[in-house]
Formats: sequence, C-alpha cells, structure tokens
Amino acid sequence: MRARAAGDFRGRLESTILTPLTQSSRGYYALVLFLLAVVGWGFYAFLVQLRYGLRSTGMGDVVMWGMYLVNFVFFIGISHAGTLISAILRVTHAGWRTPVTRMAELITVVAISIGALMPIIDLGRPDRVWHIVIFGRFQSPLLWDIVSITSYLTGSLIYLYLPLIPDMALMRDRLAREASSLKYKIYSLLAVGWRNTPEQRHRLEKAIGIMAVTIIPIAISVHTVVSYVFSMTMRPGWDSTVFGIYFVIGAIFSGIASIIIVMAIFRKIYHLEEYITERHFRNLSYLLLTSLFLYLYLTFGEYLTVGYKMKVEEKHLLELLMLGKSAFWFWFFVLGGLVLPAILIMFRRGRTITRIVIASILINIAMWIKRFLVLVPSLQVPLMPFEFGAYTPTWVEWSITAAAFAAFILIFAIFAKIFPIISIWEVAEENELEVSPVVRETVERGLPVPERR
Amino acid sequence: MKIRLLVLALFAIFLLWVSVNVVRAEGATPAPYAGLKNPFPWGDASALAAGKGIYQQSCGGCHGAKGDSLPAASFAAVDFSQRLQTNPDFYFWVLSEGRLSKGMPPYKSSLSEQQRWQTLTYLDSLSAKASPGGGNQPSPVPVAATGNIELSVTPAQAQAGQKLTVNAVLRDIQSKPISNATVQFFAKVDFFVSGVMEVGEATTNEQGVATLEYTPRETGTTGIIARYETTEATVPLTVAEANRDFYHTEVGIKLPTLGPELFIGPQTAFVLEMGRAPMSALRLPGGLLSWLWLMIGAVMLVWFTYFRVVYQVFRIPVRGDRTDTNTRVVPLSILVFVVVTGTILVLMIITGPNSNLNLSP
Repeated sequence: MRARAAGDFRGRLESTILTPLTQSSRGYYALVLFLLAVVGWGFYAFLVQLRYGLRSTGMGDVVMWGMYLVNFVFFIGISHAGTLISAILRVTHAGWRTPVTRMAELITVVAISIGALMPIIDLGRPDRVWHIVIFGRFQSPLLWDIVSITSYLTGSLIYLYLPLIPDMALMRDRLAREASSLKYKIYSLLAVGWRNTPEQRHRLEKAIGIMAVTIIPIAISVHTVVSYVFSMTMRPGWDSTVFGIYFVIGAIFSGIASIIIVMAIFRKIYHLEEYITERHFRNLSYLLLTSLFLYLYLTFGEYLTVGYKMKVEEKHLLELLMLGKSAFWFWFFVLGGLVLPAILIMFRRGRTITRIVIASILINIAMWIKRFLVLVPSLQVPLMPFEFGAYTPTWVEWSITAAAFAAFILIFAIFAKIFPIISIWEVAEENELEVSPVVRETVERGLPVPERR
Repeated sequence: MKIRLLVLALFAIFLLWVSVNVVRAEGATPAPYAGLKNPFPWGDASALAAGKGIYQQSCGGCHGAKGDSLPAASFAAVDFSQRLQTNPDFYFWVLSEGRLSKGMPPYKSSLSEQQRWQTLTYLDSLSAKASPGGGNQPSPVPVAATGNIELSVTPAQAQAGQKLTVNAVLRDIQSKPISNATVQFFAKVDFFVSGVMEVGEATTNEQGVATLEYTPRETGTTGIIARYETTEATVPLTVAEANRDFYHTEVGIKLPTLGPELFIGPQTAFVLEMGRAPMSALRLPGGLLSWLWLMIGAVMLVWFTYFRVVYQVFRIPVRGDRTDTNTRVVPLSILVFVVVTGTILVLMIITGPNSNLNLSP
C-alpha cells in the first residue's frame, strides 16, 4: 500500500517536473525571444563602448567605477544563495531543502558567471584581462578576486552537476526508445553510466558531502575578497574593518531573497505547489529575517562608528548619503529594503507567500541600490580640496545592465528546458524517508513524531 | 546651570594647567603685574582654606592633589616656596595671563584678583618646605644615602631613529654596585609642556648596570634621566637632524620569515625620494614563514579537493556496463579542466612577483 503510494508520488513528481522539458508553450518562446533581443541590444551597446571607449559611459577619472561594478557586487552577492541553501542545509541535514537546492545552485552558477563578466566589461581594453594572469601581483586584491571567483565558479559548477547525475540517468532511461537522438547522447554522457548501484551511490554521496563542506568557506572567501577590493583602500566609506562580513551577510541576505523569487516563479509556471509549499517559503523567510537583522545591525554599526568619529571626508560622505544627492536612495534602502520587508515577514496577515515574495523583491531592489550607494558616493567625495565627482550612467551602461539581467533570466529559461529544475531523486528520497518504517513505528507507539523541518 | 558650571570648571582646569606650566619659563614680569605683592600673609589660614578650594576645583586636575603631577611646574619642589615668595608678581602674572604655549590657560577672567592670591598662598603651602611634619614629600637628602647613578649614552651624538644604548651604573654610598634594582629612564620632552616622559625601565645586573635601548624620534637637544628611588642622574643628549626634516618610520613591519626578504626590480624602483621607504608593493615576503605560502596552500587545497570529488564521479561508471557512449568523457574532461585551471592559478600567484620584467635592471 505504502509502496504504491510512494510510487504514485514519484510518478507524479516525474511527470510534473519532466513535462516542461518536452513541451514548450508559445509564451516560453516569446519570453526567450524578448530576452534574446535585450541581450542583443546590450551586446550592441558593448560594441559601441569598445568602439568609442569608456567615454561612452558615465565613468571618469574621479568616479572611475560605476554600474558595472555595482552589478558585479550584486550578482556575486546573489550567487551566495546556492551555497547557503544547498550546502549549509545539506550539512545540517535539513530535510525540507530538497525541492529548493537545484534552483539555488543554479542561481549560484548563473549569477557568478554574469557577475564575473562585469569587471571585464568594465575594462577599456577587455583583451587585456589576460594581463592579470601573466602580470598579476599577489599583493593585489584584484588577483585574489580572480583566484577566488574562479575557484567558486568551478566549485559551484561541480556542486550543481553532482546531484544532477541520477536525474540525468532518469532522463536517459526515459529516452531509451529514441536511442539515436542527440538528446539521448547528451543525457547518457552526463549520466556517467549511473545505474544506482550501492557503490555508485556511495561514491556520489561522498563527493556531494565533500563538496558541501568545501564550498562554504570558498563562498565566504569570494565575497570577503570582493569587499577587500574596496576596504583595502583609504576611501571614506570603504576604509572599514567590518567590510568582509558586511558583504558576506549582505550577499546571503540578497541571495535568500533571490531564491524566494525564483522559487515563486517556477512554482507558478511549473505548477509545483505540491513540492514547494508554504512551509518552504516560511522557512526561507526565517533565514531571510535573520540575515536582514544581521545586515541592519552591521549597517547601523558601520555608519555609527564612522559618524561618531566624523573625519572630514566621512562627513562629506554621510552628508551625501543621508541629506544630499543620494539621500532619497539611502532612505529607500533603509525603509524599503530593511524596515518594510521586516514588517512584511514578521506580521502574518494575508497570504504568506505573496507577502514574503513582495518582501524579497523589495530587498533585491534595495540591495542593488545599496551596492550603488557603497560604490559611487564614496568615489564622489574628494580626498583633496577639489570638486565633488559626478556620475550619471549613460544609455550604454543601462543597456548592458539590462542585458545582464536578461541573460540571467535567459540562462535560467534555457536550463529549465534541458535539465529538471527540481532534484527528482532527492525529493523522492526525502518523501520515502518521511513515510519510512521508523516514522510509522513512532506514530503507532504514540510517540511524538519529529517535526518536519 | 550645573552643566554650564561644569563646562566652565573643566575649561578653567585646562586654562590653569596651561598657565602654571608657563611658570618655569624665565622672563621679567610685565606691567601691570610687575611689583605686585600678595595681600595675604603667606600661611594665612583663611586664604589657605579658600585657596585650597579653588586649587582643588581648578588646578588639581592637571597639577595633581599635591601639586607634583607636572614635573615642569611642580609646586611640591623644594625651592618652589622660596621662588614664589621672592617673585610673587611673576607667578601672579602667569596665573592671570596663562602660558598657552606650555598648556597653561589664563585665569584672570574666571578668578578674581583676591581668589588668585588665595590660590598662590595655597600653592606656597604645597612646597616641600611648607610641610615639615608631613614627611610624605621627597627629600633631597636620600640622594646621598642611596648612593649615585652614573649615566652614559652611546653614541652621545645620535640621529633621530637611531638606536641608542643607555647605561646606568647604580652604586650605594659605599660605592658598591646595587644589583637587581629597577631603574626608570626618562627623556626630557618639550611638546606643549616641557617635562619628562618615561621611556622604559631596566633591572641592574650584578655589576649594578641597567641597560636600556632607546630610539629617539625627535631632533634637538634633550636629556636622558635615570631614576632609582630618589636618586637621579641626567645626561644631555643631542639628536642631530639628519639630511631630512623629520624622522620617518620605515614602511612595513619586518616579520620573522626564516629566510631572506625578496626584492625585485632596480634600486630606484623601491626607494622613494626620501631615500628610505621601499614601496610596499615591491616588498615581497620571502623565506619559509611567508604568508604567500598560506595563499598558495589554500588554493592548492581547494583545487585538490575538486580533483578528489571529480575523481569520485570518474569512478562511478560500472565496469562491464555496455553502452555505446563512453561514459567517462565528461568526468575526464572536468578532471583535466580542474588540473589545468588549478595549476594556472597556482602559477599565477607564484610567478606574479617575477613577471614585471620591465622593472628588472
């Protein structure tokens, strides 16, 4: 009886997850075309920038970093989603994670690829990026950045691939009838001869276990090093000792918010209501709230210590941020990105998922703005008796930014057509675990069932 | 109201501190203070009591309860009473107008003329002679009783930033060396206030010699003082100005590295115009304890772990599993990628310092 119920669950799961892989609606093609158009326009803008140089951007000799670097920090930040959800929850054996991990890991891979592109686009001569490999000096945080981002990208690719193997085998077996097709060939290549033998399972679990532990410090190192690019300088607002952890917490914060958004979208489009339930949103919102308060605390501490000492340049910076040109955005970040989401998450009125998703969207918008506020106003403040710098992004920068976001969604859309967006074997396993004899026994004996967490 | 009083009092303390320090400086008392006399007899009980109150409120913060906190303006000094009674107008002037250059503020606006004289009357009582029964004041007599200190500085002509050796030989009255005694060393400094500043202490050995290594940072004529209990010795020291205006601290911290520090590039690349500070960018950690090893080690560890993980995947295909595709292609190519990229990253870090060939001679 139980076996049949479990079999039903698995069958339903497979058909829900795999149907979108074979059937595509018109809406899907329209979306892909639209995204392709945006990416194409961004590529044209990039060509314009190559042709006319960085003059075509709003950057200059005073404010020499702009939107590209903002996007860089933002995307690298989002990339922390995968690590946190997947690795930390796996290490702590949180069972509820299984339907979420694949999306989270995918966010990591896509976000870090796009994020890593940004500094290259920011170069006047992108062909010279090779110079950091041949002439790079290890004293430079830029070189640390290259090392740790390369490590993180490779690590998250491996980490995304490992739990895909059994699912690839599943795809291969379902396509066995059309053994000659290209699709079958790709799946069987990626499935690495997976037959679900005990030895294979042991190897895979060992590999996933090692990766889950390894990827956590690497992820932390990535955002720490990104923050070092700023905090190893004497600029007001950057010259800070808490920047490492400030950036890491900010990354986890916006990463969780991104997972919630992606989860909500796929839940809606793929009809995953059975697997991604309100519980997942609620659990993630607790993590989100925790990181929100940590971030609020660090923000408060950062500006209080700076404002208390009030060095001349820092007075200029705080004036710019709190009362001056950037004041609107700063207070939008504080109220719209921290206070309002906290209220939305804490007060349980109305529909839970809608509330949490609105909070997450607000957080992601606010965190992008926050990265802008970390970067640009600090550069505007003169360190010598000189004029304040000015920065207004041009259409080139806006186009490339739009293209970056479009590419992010596009890669997701394409991935979701080739690979299952939910880890089928892990979800099925988790489901079996939940109706396992041990649990049944405890129920029959009238013992409290360990709560699903 | 209270806050205002407090602020005023704090300000007054500061001003008094500044002005009393000026007292030591010589100079004729200008008009209209010249020739003024204390209207109270020295030792007048009511003036003393009033002066004590004012002193505690306005002066004690800097000068200390016994008036000996600032060595340059010590009211507890043996001869202070005599100097005060000889030239009361001078001290009245200093108290009234202050000596801002030494940190003493003027008090003529915060204290009435009468209050200022009351304060001076009290100061007179602080002098060592004025407390014959007290016994808590240091007396000059023990100098002879303890013996003497023979103080020498080598080299006597030094440059700022140069390490000096200060030797103090401590002997008792029978000229026998005193061993195991802690000698305090002071340098005379002149920075807002002139006074002495402790630069360190050393314990005498069996020959009674206490040795201190001291690096002066200020140029000019100064002095080193050694003190053991009540015995003091002073030796003058002239710190010459080298071919630069200020003393510059060398850039960077020299950590123990168990090996030579590496410098690359021509001499001109790492010597600034001051001639002393190597550019930190070109100062490379060498030796066995270099932090570079940590960085390389971390990168190697991470990429070796990747290799191990992918190797597990590489071993997943079951032998004898008949498929028309070579199932090891994907893990094998990831293995190759991991090895190549990991090696490039490590090489990038190691060769980085030597890659700026344009800087080599």
